[in-house]
Amino acid sequence: MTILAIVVGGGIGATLRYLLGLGLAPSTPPDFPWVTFVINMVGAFALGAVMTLLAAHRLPGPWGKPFLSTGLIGGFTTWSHFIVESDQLIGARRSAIGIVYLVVSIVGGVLAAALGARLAELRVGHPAGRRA
Amino acid sequence: MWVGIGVFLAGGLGALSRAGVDALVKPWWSARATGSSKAFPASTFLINVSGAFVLGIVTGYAVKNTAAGAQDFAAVVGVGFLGAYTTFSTEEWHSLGLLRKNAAVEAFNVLGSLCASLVLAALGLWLGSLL
Repeated sequence: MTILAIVVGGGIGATLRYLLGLGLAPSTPPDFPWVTFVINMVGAFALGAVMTLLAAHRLPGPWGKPFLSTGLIGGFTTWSHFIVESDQLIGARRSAIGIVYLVVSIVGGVLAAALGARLAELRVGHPAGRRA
Repeated sequence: MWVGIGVFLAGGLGALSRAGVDALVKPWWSARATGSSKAFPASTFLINVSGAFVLGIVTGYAVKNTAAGAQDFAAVVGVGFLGAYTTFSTEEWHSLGLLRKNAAVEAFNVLGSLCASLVLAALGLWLGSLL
């Protein structure tokens, strides 16, 4: 059950990311990788909310966490493409864009996760656990 | 269409592999780490750095080999498997927790993850271009 939830969630997350990449091209180096950036910000926001709901026992059933966090959101967001795109920007002599992409993604991702967690806390009515 | 189905299946496998590595590395790390290094998310670090290295190889290969087969391979293995195997959201969630509790470990986590990933992915891009 847990394994199926992770596989289906991860498959849906990866397919959504693939379709967004096809539909919103061009957004790969040497241009700013907007698609990966937006995907990662949305995913960090969603994971902040989901982990807070999990800590407050507000996720549905035993499949809620594996499907949503490990599968769907984990499969939707991507670290490897974020890194390879940064390397490609730097390699294409667009180091400034590459460094901006790195910094804005890391800082923006933490802020997005904090915002998602905060909104979920407001929803469940009390500050929930902040553990990963 | 077939590439899309391949991405779906590979993405599911990638997420499952991440869960598998996590289940192996997490108890291994917590049994060996001492003090504040216990807070270091070793499994996410290992997953993301290794995935960035392999995606470097796949991307380096696909940039040089523009045949449809190479592009489909890059979509299924790169976008599907490695994209889902590595995770940005969990990394940022760990960072948020560490910023609140253990800023020194977070500094090591974010700088270490970025530096190791960038260097290994650059090496991978070069290796892939030789294939």
